[in-house]
Amino acid sequence: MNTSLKAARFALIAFVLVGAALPLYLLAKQSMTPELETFAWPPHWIPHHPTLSHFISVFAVNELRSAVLRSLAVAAISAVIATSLGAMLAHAMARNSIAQRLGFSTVSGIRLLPMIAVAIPLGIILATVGIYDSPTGIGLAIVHAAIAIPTAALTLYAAFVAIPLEIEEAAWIDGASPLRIFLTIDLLMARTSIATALILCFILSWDEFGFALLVQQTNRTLPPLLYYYTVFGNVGPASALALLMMIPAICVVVALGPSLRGALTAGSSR
Amino acid sequence: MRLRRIRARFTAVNASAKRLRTVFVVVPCIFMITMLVLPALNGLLLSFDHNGLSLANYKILFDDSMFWRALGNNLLVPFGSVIVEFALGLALALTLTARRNRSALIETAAILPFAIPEIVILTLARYIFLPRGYLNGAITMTGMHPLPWLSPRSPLAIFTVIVVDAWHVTPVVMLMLMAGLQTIPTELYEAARLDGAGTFATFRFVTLPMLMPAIVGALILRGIDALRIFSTVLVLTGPEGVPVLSTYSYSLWDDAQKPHEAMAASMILALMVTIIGIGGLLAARRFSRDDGALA
Amino acid sequence: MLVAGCHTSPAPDQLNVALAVFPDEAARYASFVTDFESQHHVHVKVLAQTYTDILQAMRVQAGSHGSIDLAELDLAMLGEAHAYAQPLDQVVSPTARALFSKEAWDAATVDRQLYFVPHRLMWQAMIYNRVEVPNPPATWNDLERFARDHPGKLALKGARYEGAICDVMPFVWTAGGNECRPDSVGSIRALDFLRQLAPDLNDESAVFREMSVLEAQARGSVWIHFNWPFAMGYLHTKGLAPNVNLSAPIPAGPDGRATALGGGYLAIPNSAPHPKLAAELIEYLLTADTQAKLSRELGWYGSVPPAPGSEDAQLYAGYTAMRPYVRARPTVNCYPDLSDQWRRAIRAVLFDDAQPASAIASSILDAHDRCDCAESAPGSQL
Repeated sequence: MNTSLKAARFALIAFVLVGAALPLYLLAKQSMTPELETFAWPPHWIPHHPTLSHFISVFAVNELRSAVLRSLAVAAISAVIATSLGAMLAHAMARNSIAQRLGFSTVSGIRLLPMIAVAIPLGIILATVGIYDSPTGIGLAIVHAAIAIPTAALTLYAAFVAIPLEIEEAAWIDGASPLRIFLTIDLLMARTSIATALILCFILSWDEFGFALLVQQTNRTLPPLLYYYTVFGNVGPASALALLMMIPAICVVVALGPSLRGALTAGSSR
Repeated sequence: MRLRRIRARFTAVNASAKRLRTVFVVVPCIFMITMLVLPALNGLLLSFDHNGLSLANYKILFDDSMFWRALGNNLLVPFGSVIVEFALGLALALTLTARRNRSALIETAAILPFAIPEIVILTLARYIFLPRGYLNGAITMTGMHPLPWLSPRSPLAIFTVIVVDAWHVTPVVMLMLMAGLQTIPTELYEAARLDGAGTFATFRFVTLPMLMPAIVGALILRGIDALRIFSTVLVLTGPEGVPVLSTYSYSLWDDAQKPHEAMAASMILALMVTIIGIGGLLAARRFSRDDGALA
Repeated sequence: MLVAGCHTSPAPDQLNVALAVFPDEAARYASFVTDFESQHHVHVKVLAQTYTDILQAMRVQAGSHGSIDLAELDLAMLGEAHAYAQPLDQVVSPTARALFSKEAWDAATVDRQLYFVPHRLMWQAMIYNRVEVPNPPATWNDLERFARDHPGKLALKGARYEGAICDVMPFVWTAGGNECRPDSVGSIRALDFLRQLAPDLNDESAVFREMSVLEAQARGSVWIHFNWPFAMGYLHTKGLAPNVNLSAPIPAGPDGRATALGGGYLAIPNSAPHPKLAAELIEYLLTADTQAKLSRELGWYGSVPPAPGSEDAQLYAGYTAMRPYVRARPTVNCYPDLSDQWRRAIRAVLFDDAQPASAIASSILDAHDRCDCAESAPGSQL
């Protein structure tokens, strides 16, 4: 009984390792294979004539460069807004039970909304205001900020709960205003969680596909761009782009490691 | 005298703290509601707009056989996906929590499918499951007949979509369950071992019951997310291959240029998610140990 | 100068042109109009958008002061869009008219007034794998035999979108049918033929669109399909044409040959801030020189046939052969309803094994679906 269990465990771990390595290998291989060879059948498992032209085209093509910049801008702006608002909400939730219930209800309620039910009417509203499909991606940044607040709030909630009330009370008695206490004490003590929240919100925006597809039709961010590259049959450039898109996320996972665990379980959503 | 000053200060600060708290709650909530809930409500209104207030948009949907396919798939695929996620996630959580297998490499490898952007995984999955993709390439090399993994006429497509959707999300389930596993006191395992319980008995009578709240909590979160499946199906099969409500709505908006009908379809999806979500939350109340702490 | 609404007036020396091009193409297009810019001392700003977004913008700006001077619209949208566009009869000279076929101009004419000018026209031909299919089918019988002998190697673009109509209409036309009368004898005959083909079509036809079927052709999963000229361009850049894939005329039916016209037309919106300048840009675009330059620099096949003996001539042989048989879909207000009807009927016949007559009958949901349009003239000289 125990040996079969051991075998099952081994198989599972092997499956996990292969499952992580194989996609990376296939994408890397595809990004270095010339298009003509990529369409060969049966597929080549090792490129016969490897090339760097797809990576060069990724950097040379204007549209891709602007998509990278746009993705960076949208992710950075939305992460900052979401973390700021999330910190506010999380602090209130940590200090007051009514706020806590209200906060959890709103956050849970927001998670019930399907993207498609929001994105189509939102696109029309953004068009009326004039920020639909904007070259700067500002409309998308605001949307991403809104959907990232739950993640930021839940990540920071735990951090603020952990700050002892006595520290705040001591500062009260010493004459500091509640706002000052929040800014100088709470934020300082929760700074690692704030960093985690910023990173999580950044990655959420960087990876987000649905709203990006519907709100930025021509001035695209990276996920819709990759989608169009794929469905437009540009295998090599799509693979090169996919590899590049993985880099921020992989860095973060490898660097943050265990501290990511709690945060991921708290705030992840589609 | 000092006490009165302190008390007065306390009351004043208390009031201003309350004001700050109100702002801290109201501003983010108003922001979220304005950006997300109001458009959805607008969409709800538009779904009843067919040259005036009417239910015609919904009737058009109900007359469309693809709508019913989308509705059915929107229950079948998330259901299958959640089962796979949890089976795999639980297995991984148990395996990785056992002290022997503690390895940063394996943990990172397990988390990787989630760290990678979903669109990247889907792009790769597409190249794997195409009729002339890598999987059929490997199968052909062994001399067997290739399979129609993504063919719109084959039920195999639903299976493929379930597996790909689950694979991306399994790491999250694994992490949630690992967090739950760590709250189980080791004394219980000791007691079980002293009582002579084997591996499976320990799992059935110690691990599983103690893990139930975490499982239920994760089930609700992942279940709600799974219902909103969109990009997996869009990239792998297109809106017509394995239709689900979100891609059906998208296709009505983008291909057919019918925004009102698209809103109607998305409202039905929202209704489904709300019903199942609230139902799940209510059921979870009976299971959770700590009141309200589902996060 | 007072500005109405929340639209800001563009600077007096800027012309806003909304085209359905990729952002990269927009950059190349902008460099292509520098001559016009220096002649008229204006800056032409090319906005890359999708056809649907452009149409939506025209709808939204219809009543008020607009921001678009020149808009590109898809052929299928002309029926609705003419209400938002200015008549252009005065702008188009007879020499300009000669550049395109009567068919193309007819599609741009509503109530005997011209509202649009052709910008980027294209039509479909048959793309085939010359290695696997040395003798491409030339008639319906050939096509049927090919499908039967090679199941899964013939594909149609059968997704729920306009492209399905572009694949099926040629069959309807070459059976003597009419897109305005789905229940006509010719239409039923064409759908019957397609129903016979259906079991042997590639499985993914139900989801295929222009690019996905093209990728399948590139990979060799599909040996024959129908597509626009950019398909040959794509295959050429991948190194798969003309060595593996070529273009050929669409198989002839009982009533001859036909292919569907598609592409972009330009309009001056009613709400355009600089209609006179926009008209001058149109005049500039409608010269033989400019058209040839457009084809060459932007890689568009269309208004000017490739030089005989060139590689392009070989690549686009099928398209050149289909030039005389181009037919446009009707430019009527109710076209979206008609198109919907056809999409339902086509999918029912191809993928649900429905009988054509009952598929047509059940594709009409209510009285509003009935679309009255005039029969389009067969054939044309280009």
